[in-house]
Amino acid sequence: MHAIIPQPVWPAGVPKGAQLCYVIGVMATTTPNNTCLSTQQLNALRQALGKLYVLDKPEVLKTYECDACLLIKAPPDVVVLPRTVEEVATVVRLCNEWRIPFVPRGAGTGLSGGALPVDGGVLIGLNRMDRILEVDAVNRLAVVECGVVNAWLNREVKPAGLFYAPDPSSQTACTIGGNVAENAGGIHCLKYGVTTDHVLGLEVVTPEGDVVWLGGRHGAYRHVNWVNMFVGSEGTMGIATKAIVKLTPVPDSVKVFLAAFSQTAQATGAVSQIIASGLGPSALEFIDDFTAQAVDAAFHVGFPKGAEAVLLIELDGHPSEVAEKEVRLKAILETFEVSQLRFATNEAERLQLWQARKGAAAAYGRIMPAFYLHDCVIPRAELTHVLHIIKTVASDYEVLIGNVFHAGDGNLHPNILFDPADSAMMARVLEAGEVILKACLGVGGVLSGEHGIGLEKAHFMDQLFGPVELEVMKRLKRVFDPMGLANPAKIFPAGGGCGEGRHSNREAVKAGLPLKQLNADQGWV
Amino acid sequence: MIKQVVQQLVQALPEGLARVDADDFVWFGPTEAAALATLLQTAGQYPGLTLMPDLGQPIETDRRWSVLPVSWELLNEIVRLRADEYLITVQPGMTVGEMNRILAPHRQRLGTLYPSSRTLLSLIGQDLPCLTQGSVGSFRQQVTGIKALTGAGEPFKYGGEVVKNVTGYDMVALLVGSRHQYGLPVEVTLKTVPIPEMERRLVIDLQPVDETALPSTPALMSTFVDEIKNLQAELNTLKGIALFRLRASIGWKCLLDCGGWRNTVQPDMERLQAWVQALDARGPGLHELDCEASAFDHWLDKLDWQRPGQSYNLVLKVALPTAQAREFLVGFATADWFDAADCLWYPDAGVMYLRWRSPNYPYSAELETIVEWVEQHHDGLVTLAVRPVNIDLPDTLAQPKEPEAFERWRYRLRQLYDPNGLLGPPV
Repeated sequence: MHAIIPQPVWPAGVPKGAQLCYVIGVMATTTPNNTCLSTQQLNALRQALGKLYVLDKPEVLKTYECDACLLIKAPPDVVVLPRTVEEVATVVRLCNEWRIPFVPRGAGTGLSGGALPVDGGVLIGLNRMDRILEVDAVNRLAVVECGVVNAWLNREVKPAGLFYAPDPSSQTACTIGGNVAENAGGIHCLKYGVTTDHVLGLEVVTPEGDVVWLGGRHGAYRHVNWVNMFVGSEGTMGIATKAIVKLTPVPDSVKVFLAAFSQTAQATGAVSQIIASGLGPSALEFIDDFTAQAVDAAFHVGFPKGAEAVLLIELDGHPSEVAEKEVRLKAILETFEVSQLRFATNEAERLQLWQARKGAAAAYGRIMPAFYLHDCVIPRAELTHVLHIIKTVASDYEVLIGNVFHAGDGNLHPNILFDPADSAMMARVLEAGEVILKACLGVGGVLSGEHGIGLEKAHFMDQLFGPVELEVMKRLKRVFDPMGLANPAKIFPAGGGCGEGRHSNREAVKAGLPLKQLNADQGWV
Repeated sequence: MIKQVVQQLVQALPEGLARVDADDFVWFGPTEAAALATLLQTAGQYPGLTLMPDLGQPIETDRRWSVLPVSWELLNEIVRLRADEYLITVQPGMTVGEMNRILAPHRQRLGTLYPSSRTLLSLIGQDLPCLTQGSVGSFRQQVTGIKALTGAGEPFKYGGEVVKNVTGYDMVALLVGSRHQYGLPVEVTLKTVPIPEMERRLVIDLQPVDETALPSTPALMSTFVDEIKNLQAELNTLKGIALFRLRASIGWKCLLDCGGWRNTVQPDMERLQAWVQALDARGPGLHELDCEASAFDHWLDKLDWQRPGQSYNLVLKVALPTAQAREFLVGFATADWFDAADCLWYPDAGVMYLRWRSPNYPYSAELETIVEWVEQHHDGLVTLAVRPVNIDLPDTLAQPKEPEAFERWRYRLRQLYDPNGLLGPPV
């Protein structure tokens, strides 16, 4: 997929010679050498971490200018790659001393622009902190550094008959630290829960530079549940450097079913019925025809042709329990118009189905260079209604939308495909996205189920929360980060009052105006 | 003086919000969230007052004019039942029993298993572990949405009737387990679970013989603990388990909750019978299996040690990983202080309660030993489950040493979420 190349409009008052980057159509500036840090400050970082691990060359910084949400770009002033918690703490203390923001980053697979240093400052990449420190099979837990890739941990604990349950689609690349920051979910969180349900303890560098453990192997707390509060805070309350995570026994028996439906409403009706029956599947995924064909073309999994929707349904547990569930599942599906029902007959087929599901994003890349992915969650009973709206939106705005999502959770993932070079299409994509989000909020939904708010959805927060509610929520940031230096300008819409970045010329970034307004007012598209 | 302040407050409030009981003590009974907000906003203008949420039990130990009980008795309505979504939204004054009664016609109930008399308000304040935590998750995991008020009466919310959510900060985590120091809930959405086709709730009497003939030796403890571990591995439909001993009765007992489809539960019951018989054949005691649901409920209720109003006991909550908890049980089995304690262990929740009644409280030095063993050597945490009265506590318990950052954060939490100091002692 290609990066978006915005059309620059030189802003009044910005000195010529500054380089521009765009954040959802709002300009931010950096100094000509692409860093706002002084030579003395850069040297202090080099002294603390070693020359090799302080990156400030523009061509290198470009690697870090966006995450997997390609709508938004903001190159950091400098990137540091610490190896130890002490190094992380040193960098944070220096940032405190210099009053400059710092932003933690894992693998950069986030989908909401959460790891972008839009207020400038130091980007702290945790990728070198990638050791699995301990697997305690008796207590079913693991101690890992936060740069450990999700899939590595699963590979490590598999011989012990255990697995780490949160399994986002990016699990072969995303890190445990990133999962903690975003409270990542995945296909199997329908049964097993999201990241916050699997974190017992966290070693954290606080925004004020202290190193503390929240929780621990015991998973308990004294009066304040710091761990659950921290998970999902998107790096705005500090930087997690180590995690103690729960491990789950691999179920004795697993069976994955593929059910194809000639009509979307039949599939969503089946979802509601499966949930209402109390069957408790471990995964229940919806794939629309557009996505199924894209995936099939890329991965050759034999998804049926001509079906409007496909459900992937996984049952797990003791063999007798799975057998019983299978009987009941089939009885439910018989009441709907299922054009095809089959199941993975072996482990290889099962993995192929899930890999294909997780590879949907890659499959879209064969159709269009980029996509804008939403993550709203709605009551499951509203799936039919909202999918109909999405279909109408695709038609009205003349955009391609692929739906592949966690139906069992009501966690929609409409992927709006676009070509970054087509500015007219970009405008339609952004508008279509907004209409979909509003439709989800209208049925009692929320903005995000597992990707986080980051920068990309921050300006929608005031559609879900009133001013007082937002202000009360924002106070939590002030508890941990009174200086507002930890990953500023995230989660909350403009005028947040949490972050006091020193880059006055970047205040525009924090304005977080609605996309449509920006496009219209600033002539970006 | 404070009595006059209270009287001024009562006069400033809308009619009907303040009540006066037979002993002339003032309490409040808001009937809706707006009334509670008015109370918080108005009371905040009178320094020196504390509002104490009445958690469903009489407040017997702290009847002072400056501490004003707020009853949720009239905030106990069901807001919405979404049986198809397995969600129920209620006001927090509702009890577990009431919620389960509403859910029963839909073949549903709450996933977490608590005594029926517990109010939702108390569960939010205390974040209690429970028998079924291993299968359904912690109490926090059951809450999908919350509406609440800060100490200054400002409204806030998080989540709703959706089962997954990362939209902003987890405000539920701020409230659950915080003893209502940072806000008061007014509406809560909880997950529910289907009532299984077949369920068996059982009590195993592990040692029903005369205690003098069968002392709690480490070997015996080791056997029990290992046997429980084996049992957990063997039962496919096990939803919850607890091991406990009460000094008032004799011996260790085990509560088991099994549920599922008929043809999966029945084989488990046969396995359980065989396990009990095998244990009986090996051990000197008679091991009994009581399958009466009423016996199960009886014990579940008796084990509600963190119930408000029971502050005359010393109750420690010991959180330990499973292996270390087993080591604790085996290693301390012969200690006098352990022998004098009631003990309750939720292996799946990783939580053990130890309770002593006067005059058998352990010495301060013994408490110090427990804390040191658990916290410094075995990755655990010891907290006071209820506030004891007139007991000499070591500093490690009375004023546990925590990172300085925690103290700062707590201070700021109170400053920002309870600026008038109504919801707890002043910061």
